Amino acid sequence: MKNLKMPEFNKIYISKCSQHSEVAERVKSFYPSDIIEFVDDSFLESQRGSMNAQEFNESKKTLLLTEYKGQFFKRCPGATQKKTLTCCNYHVLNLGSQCNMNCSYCYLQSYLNTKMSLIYTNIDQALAELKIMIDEFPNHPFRVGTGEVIDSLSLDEITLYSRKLIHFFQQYPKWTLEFKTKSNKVNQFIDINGSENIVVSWSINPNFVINREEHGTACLEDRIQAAIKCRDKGYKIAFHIDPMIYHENWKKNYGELVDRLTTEFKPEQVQVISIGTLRFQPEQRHIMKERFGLNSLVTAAEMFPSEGNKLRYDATLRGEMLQFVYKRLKSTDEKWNAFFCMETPETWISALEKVPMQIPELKELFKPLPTVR
Amino acid sequence: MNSNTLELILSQANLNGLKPDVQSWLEAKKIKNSDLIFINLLKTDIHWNLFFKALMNTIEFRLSYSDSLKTLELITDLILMGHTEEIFQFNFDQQKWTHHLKSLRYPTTNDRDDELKKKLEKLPWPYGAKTKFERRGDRAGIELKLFITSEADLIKTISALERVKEQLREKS
Repeated sequence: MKNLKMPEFNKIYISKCSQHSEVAERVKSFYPSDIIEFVDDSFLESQRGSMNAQEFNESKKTLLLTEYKGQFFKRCPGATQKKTLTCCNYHVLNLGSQCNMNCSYCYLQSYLNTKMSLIYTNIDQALAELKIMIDEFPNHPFRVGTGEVIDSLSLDEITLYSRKLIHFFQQYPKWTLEFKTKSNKVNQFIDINGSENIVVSWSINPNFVINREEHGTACLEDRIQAAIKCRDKGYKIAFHIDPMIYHENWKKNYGELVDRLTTEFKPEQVQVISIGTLRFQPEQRHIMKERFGLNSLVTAAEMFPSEGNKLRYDATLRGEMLQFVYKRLKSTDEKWNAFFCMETPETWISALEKVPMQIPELKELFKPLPTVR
Repeated sequence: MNSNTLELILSQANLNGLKPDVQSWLEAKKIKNSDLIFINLLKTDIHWNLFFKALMNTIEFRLSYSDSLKTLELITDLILMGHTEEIFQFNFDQQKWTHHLKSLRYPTTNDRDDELKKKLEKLPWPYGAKTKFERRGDRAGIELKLFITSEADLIKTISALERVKEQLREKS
């Protein structure tokens, strides 16, 4: 299997507080010294502020290693919109921010306010924070993902955080760790045996969409081959068919995508398949158009204001797209565990005539959990 | 990206000999820098010519602040998608022009809406009911207005709606 090459950076800054960290040592061994500069801990503050298109592009090529000063463990943004969205109790652990890949629809374009990619070097503090939560709620089935504002694995060859996280979560089988990636980078942890509570997940799309909209990511087959490696090593895997992007041959392409999954994997090997359609914040449209022009399937998409203020496809079309993938999956085996990500109850009902709490296999996933501090 | 979009539009207007018209429009509508962020995407003389032609139309139609900006952003999208003179079909009538621009920018949705509208309009709505097809954000449908004067009237209306339901059931 072809692995993507080492992430490219034009400049790497290392904060004083991070200079003796394991990650800094690895960075120094991988990258030429002339692109590395040591900076004061206050440097990060000078890099705050909203970004224009050019600054956003540059932020992908500039890396800062520093320590995170806030709370690592948070609820998924979907949970803050409970009035409009049906939320699946996902929690996030942010060990950095920005992504070295370049998807046209990426929500980070309207979310980030730091003019460089960040890797937090104080993972031990994050694990200590998690330990406190686990001690408080040892028997609650929390799902913790590391791929909210950074791809979980695309920089993992630099950090090797996957290894620490896997070892940590394997001590707490009720809690689930979920890596989420569009890369095929799994070799750095694949020597560790998997377990039921470690999920490696891939956000996937047909190659037609990957080639046009998911720049710098692994192709579909490479993602699937990486998933096969993880499955064979005992990891649970998951897929996110999200965001589905409407195009002329969407039924054929998404149909083939589902068929590829269902022939390669069995329902019991795949923890969950989440399905979602394209959505983004209205204010993001300008930077997307500036960065990707109007020939993109995303920037030229027919989007309308919807509940929760995001732009989405027409509700009926959205229901058709979600229902198509859901039914195609279920037609091969009723046991596939699929749900709609960040969708309104109206869409659930239009596509499936049910909300998640009425679907036995999803009830557990959507059951409200205690609120984290 | 130029953060001073007012300067940008005025300098381009000057090149196109339209500075006084554009300046008075900016002042009358109290347009701010952040309102015109989308014009940064216009790169060529052809883009700007098309944009100003459309702007003159919106001035002529005396569109409100919000409708002007929505229309101009939509037109900017169309210009960048490669549309040229077809943008100005129906520009003699504001309603027709707006509908035409939306059908160019949202062709699939437009076709689906037309189909849905035909389907809904053919249904046997109660006598006297007023129907109006509308798109409200990501949802399209009809607004149904009924005027009920008595209990008997209400019962009649409900049974008429039952016929709508039956017809829909037969079709599906």
